[in-house]
Amino acid sequence: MNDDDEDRAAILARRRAFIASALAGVVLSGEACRGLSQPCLSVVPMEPRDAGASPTPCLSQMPMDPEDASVAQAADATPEPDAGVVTPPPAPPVPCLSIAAPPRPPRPRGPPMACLSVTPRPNPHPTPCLTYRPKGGEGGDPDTGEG
Amino acid sequence: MDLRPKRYALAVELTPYCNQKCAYCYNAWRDDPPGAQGLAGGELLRLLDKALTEVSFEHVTLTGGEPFARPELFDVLAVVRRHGLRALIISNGGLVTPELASRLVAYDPYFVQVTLNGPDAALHEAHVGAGHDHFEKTLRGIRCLREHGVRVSGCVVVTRKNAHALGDTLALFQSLGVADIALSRFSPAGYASEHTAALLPSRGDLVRALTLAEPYGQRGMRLQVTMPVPPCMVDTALFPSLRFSSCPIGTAQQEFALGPKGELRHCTLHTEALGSVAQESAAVLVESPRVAAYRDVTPAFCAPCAHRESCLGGCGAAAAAVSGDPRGLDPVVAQHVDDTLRQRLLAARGGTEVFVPVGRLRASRTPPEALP
Repeated sequence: MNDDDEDRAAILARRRAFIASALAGVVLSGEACRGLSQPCLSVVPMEPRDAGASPTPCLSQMPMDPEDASVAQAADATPEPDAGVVTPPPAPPVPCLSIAAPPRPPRPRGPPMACLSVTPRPNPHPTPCLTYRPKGGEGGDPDTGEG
Repeated sequence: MDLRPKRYALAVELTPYCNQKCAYCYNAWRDDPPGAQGLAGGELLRLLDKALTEVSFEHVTLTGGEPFARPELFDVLAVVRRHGLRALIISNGGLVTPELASRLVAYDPYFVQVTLNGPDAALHEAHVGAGHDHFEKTLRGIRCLREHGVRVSGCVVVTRKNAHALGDTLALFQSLGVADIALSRFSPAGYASEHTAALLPSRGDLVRALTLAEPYGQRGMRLQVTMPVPPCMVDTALFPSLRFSSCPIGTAQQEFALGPKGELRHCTLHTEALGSVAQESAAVLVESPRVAAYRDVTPAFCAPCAHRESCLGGCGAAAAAVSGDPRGLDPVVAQHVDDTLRQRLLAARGGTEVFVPVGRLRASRTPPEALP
């Protein structure tokens, strides 16, 4: 088996395992379930769409066109998945081109203001000077790694 | 109460000009005629101010082309600051001078993200264009920014040419004092789709690269795989020190792009315009049904997968450029499971055929989408 065949087999095996998970209705996620109080099957939070989106069929899909035939064929020809494949947690959505900017600190609650006008903010906006908090990480300086 | 829609980021494409000619450049307009100069200074500032007034973005990303080539860069930073925001800048570092770095300090950008694609001039310039000393200029730019106290993050575009050298490239970043790195696996969107055969990393290339990166993560380097890597390709659990991500379009993490014609797009890689910020409210555009509907369609290959809703089949912009199907399967996966694409890539690599990205070819023959 050459490298290309190995890559193909590995992808199709993992895909089969994920399909099996989906069909079983359970995503076995060793990493995801550890210490997180959220269902393993939850998808990435979406705003504001989630609030008002009407239910859609879970398995709706694009019609398969002739170009996809080879894909389906390849998938069907795959051996059974490796029983050791564990469905990982969904990766969080992140802009593609840069590392995540540190989250903005919450703005202090100010006095009541008119709802429809844009309130001028202090210039510059107060932000912590020395902390760099990569998304999901702890404080630190991006260059030195020191907090 | 701020009633504006809240979104994560706006990426502003400041100028089509770039001093480098990167083969992996995702800008669809990269080969536009030299006359295409982007928005005039006043118009750029007006549209940016309008977008930041109408939508509550968390930050602004300045990109290009090369942002430091835009004469109005500091006027743009002033607009961003006036809105209480900070910028991050994506740059090749090659145009940074002590004067620019010194002026930049006052605007307190989150960081300037600079790309190195190899540990030496030969490999780096094999990606960004040879003959102009780009490697040394980029190293000088990084050092200059750091000397002036400007935070620097790094980026490596992981390709089939440089995946084997990722460890050495990260060591170079480390020696420069740069500890936050975006591992941007090559995505053949826009202009880059013409270089799919030469640059698209295989699954094996990616696994090799991630294996080389993992020890750096374990030693404290913060490594984020910034372009989506579909979970069927790589077992992310094997790389606990690396952070992986998925496409943010249609979520609160979306980074919209404000393009050189004033058009708002899903992201910098996508070519489809949602509308013109000059003529429509940016708030209306970011809430457009086209944005919300983006996550409703996934490639047929992915339809039964448990990860369909978060993965979306990878990068739709790359699928659009390579296959012509904007919601097709990301070529990084398709190269292994779509026999037609596989054969075309093999033929191109064997020199018997030129790889033609169908979507990009079609787009070049179609008049640009009229903005409303």
